[in-house]
Amino acid sequence: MENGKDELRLTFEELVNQEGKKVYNLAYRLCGNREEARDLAQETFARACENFGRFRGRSRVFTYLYRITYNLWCNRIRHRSRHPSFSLTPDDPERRPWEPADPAPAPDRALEAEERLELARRCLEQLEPADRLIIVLREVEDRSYEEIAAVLNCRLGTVKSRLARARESLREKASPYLEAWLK
Amino acid sequence: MKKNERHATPADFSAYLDGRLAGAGREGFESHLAGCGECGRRLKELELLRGLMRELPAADPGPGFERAVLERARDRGRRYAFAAWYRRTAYGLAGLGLILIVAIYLQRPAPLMETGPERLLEVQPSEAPAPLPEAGPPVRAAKPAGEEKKSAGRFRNESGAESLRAQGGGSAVKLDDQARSYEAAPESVERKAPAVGSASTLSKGELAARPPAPMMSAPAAAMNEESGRGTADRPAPGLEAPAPAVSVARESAGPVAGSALDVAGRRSSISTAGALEKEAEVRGLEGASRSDTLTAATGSDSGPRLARLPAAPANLLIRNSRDWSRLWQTQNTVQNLSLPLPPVDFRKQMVVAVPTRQENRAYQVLRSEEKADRVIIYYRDVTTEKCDKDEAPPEPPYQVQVVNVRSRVEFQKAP
Repeated sequence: MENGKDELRLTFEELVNQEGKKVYNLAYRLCGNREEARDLAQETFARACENFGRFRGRSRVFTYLYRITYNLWCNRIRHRSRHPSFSLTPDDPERRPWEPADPAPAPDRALEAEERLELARRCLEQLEPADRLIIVLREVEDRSYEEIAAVLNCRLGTVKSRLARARESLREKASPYLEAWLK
Repeated sequence: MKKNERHATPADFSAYLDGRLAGAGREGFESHLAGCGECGRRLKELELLRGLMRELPAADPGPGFERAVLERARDRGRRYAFAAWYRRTAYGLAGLGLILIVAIYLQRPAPLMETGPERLLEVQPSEAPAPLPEAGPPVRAAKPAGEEKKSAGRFRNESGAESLRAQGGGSAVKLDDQARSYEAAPESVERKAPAVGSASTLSKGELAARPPAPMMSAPAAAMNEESGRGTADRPAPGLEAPAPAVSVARESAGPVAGSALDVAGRRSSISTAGALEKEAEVRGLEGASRSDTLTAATGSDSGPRLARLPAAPANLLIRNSRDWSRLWQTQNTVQNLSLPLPPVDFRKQMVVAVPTRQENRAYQVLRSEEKADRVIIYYRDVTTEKCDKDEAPPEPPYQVQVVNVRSRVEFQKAP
């Protein structure tokens, strides 16, 4: 399916099979938690099922689903900021508190590569929601500017400026480790 | 890096990374990178981060993800359908309630017109008539036939229609020659007892459309038979009836006035009928340019609120169907008639009722004329020397005019 008009003919089950993993991955990149990402992806499809009549097929269906995912995630962030909660259960390893790694080079190169990925993921989680979304779309999923503009519902010039700002913000977050990694 | 040369901006780095910096911009950027270590290092950091982001492994949602998604969507669909049904039902009920409220609002009784307290008619307790029975026996039936004929004979000696107007009775007010008016306002009129005995004049377009003769012929014929009067000397069937007589005329009161239905009645039988015949004939001759006129008997107090100017006829403003129905029913009962209640649309119209006899004077409402902001009621003083309560036969108490609702009602004596 190359365009939204064709995707309008998909059954809901086919849509879930085609886009389910993409939506889940986006949710996971945004939330940083597998369970929450699963719930967010399911909620995304439930909402899409309710309101699929509004999708006109002018863009790819994944942009429609991504926009729902992002909006739902922003709602959850907003709700959490207004209703903070604290867990009494032991920490989820996925959600353990941020611990800066020792910038000194590790002896084991494989372990170092894994640590770099973990650090990169942590840096990504520290970004603002809008910056995080555009970094995920461009750097992780390698989406084109046009697709990003469709997801964000903005113009290409806006995508360029937002992407530049998000990259700069990510670089600042990772700056304590970048010098060691570049050596 | 040359002196005064600025570093590359984040937008330049971002565009260069994405291959969107072309031509002179790209060459300038690359030449700057060759001479600027800081920008070169910054570019390497960005490339490293991009590489790391692209190395992030794709997450697997785990088994049963698609099934769970479909399950939730199905469940949400059921809830959504119920919510939609609930919303439609709620909106429907709300709309129905709104329609009911509007219907009740439109059906409410119209407020009465207001006059100042100094303009209210003062009626002594002794002048107030006794309360009338709702559906008591007709007054005619209680009277012996001979007495009825006697009074009728006296009345016949009066001269024609003029004698009809000369029936004075219980009273309250004197008239001035000057026209008087009062401002209309709802809900502040005191309830007063009106005078007794008069003829009623009712004007309304809907009533004019009715054929008046059939409406009045049945009671007229019945009363003729009752009085024992022969049919040979009746000049016009329907007009000689003892109680009601009908005549049709067109009223040229003005552009708004429309047609009028003139209702006047007599309780006495034969002589009243003769007088009514003459009056009907007069009206019939004038009728080419006047509104439809119906003359019928009416009798007594209706009990609605009474208000007046000191120098104008005491009058009633009826602005709801309840008072209108009471007035009509009472007059029918007293006059032994069963005329149907003339329909009046009280959303747009009101009834002006003028007691005929007031302080030994008798008045006749001739017509009404509707202006943009007021209604003018033309009346005539028909008081004669015979206007004695004991001698004159009972009359319908009111002359009634149906007019369109206006803020002011003026009374003007006709020349």
